[in-house]
Amino acid sequence: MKSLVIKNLHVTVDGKKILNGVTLAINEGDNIALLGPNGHGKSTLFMSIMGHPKYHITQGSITFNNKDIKKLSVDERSKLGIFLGLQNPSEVPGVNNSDFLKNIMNVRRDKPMSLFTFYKELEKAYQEMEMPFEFANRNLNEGFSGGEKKRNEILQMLLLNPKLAMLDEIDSGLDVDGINQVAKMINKKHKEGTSLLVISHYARLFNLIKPNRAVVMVNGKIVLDGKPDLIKRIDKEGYEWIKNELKIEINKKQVHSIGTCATKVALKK
Amino acid sequence: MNIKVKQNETKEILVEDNSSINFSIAENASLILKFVFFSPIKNISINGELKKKAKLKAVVADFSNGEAKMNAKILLNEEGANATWDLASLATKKDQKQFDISFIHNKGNTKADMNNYGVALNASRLVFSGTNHIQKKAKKSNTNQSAKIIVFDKDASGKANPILRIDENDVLASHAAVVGRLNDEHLFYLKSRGLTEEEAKALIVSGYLKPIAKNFDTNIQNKINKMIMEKCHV
Repeated sequence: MKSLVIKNLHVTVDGKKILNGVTLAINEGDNIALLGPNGHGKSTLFMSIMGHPKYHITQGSITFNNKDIKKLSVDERSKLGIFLGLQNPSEVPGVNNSDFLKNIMNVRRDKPMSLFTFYKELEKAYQEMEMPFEFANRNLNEGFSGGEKKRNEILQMLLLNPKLAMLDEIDSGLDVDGINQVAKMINKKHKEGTSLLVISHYARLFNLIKPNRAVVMVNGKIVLDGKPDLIKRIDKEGYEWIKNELKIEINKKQVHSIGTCATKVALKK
Repeated sequence: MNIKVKQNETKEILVEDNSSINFSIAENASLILKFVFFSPIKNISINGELKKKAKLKAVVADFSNGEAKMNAKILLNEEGANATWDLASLATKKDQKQFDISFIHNKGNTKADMNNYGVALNASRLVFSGTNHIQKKAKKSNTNQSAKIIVFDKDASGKANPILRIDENDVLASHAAVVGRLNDEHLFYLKSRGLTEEEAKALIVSGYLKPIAKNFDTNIQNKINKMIMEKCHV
């Protein structure tokens, strides 16, 4: 069964073209590594699937479980079971973490949970993430370290039980123990049926979560879609060989520095 | 309304209308002064003084509509006087709200703690002006002020003017003011977890303004919660 199907997707941000015809089909149960040099549209693809208002689809289609989601609001997409673990989760002033978690769990239920059920689930999730329960009483991501924010993203994934989880550099900012912990939880969710689309620049995370497919994005397009051994090769050799083997120019103008995504470059102008 | 709290006495007063207040708190006495506004308030002044070791706890929950103006001037006139002030205000639509609050330390060993929280939605304007003034010879006085406003929409505005006037050396004083604008990334983040725009806004507004509710009885608490939801259109 197909879960997410993207056909010939073109996306602009502030008038700058970033995706140039992405075609990708995710099957239920897939665990896909999304690779590619910085600034070639990986995060943009995630933002477009989630429906961020800055990302304009000029052409192409996105369906999820055969439903056209292009016109759905961000929250409707989330309620269909799509989850985006952000590269840089926002610090939201004034919002208490546990209030937030209770709300996002309740909006996908017919009836709100009892406080008791909520605390049970919350406590379990904190234990699984090996995070101190006091985090529940802090403000949402406010003053969290990079690693704590990433753990808080995975905690939300555990509580929301998505059908598809898109994780954008979830390993950046995490220490080794953190990566192991996060990978363990990703594997747990995958076993329970969550499909995965994961961006990372490091083989360490992929060694732990063992994708069944690897997809490479260059110049705003998927240029390779194959077996996971692509990860090893790219980890060893970088992206130069793709240029030679596929005879494509890898657009370097978009790349300013490590960690600069195409959107940021577009927005700076 | 004139309020006199006699020596060693404790009084609690709840104000729900547009009336101005004059108070004086005698030695060792304490006053709990609570304001809650759901209907329009025009011009309110609060003037009062605290004597030796007197205590004031003032709480203001403002959910009124339209123009609101409040002036408060509180004098810490004798040693050991201690005052706290907590205010939460929600401005929506075309509301214009201004709160001017000042604490004046006229004697030493006095303490004042002022906290103003606000949210400005739609095309409203919210201004907090706070002055903490430590006069000469008011040694070992301790004064704090913090103001936090969050502004949601592009036509809304918020301003916090925290002023410290210190005329004595041997004192403790601090102030902090933050006016934050809710940006698209915050909203996107909350929506990406399944909250509608209104639900996301209500969650943030509650986070800022709900803590004031615990100072009131359940009836008023429920009214405050209902008001937050209504004003965010949930």
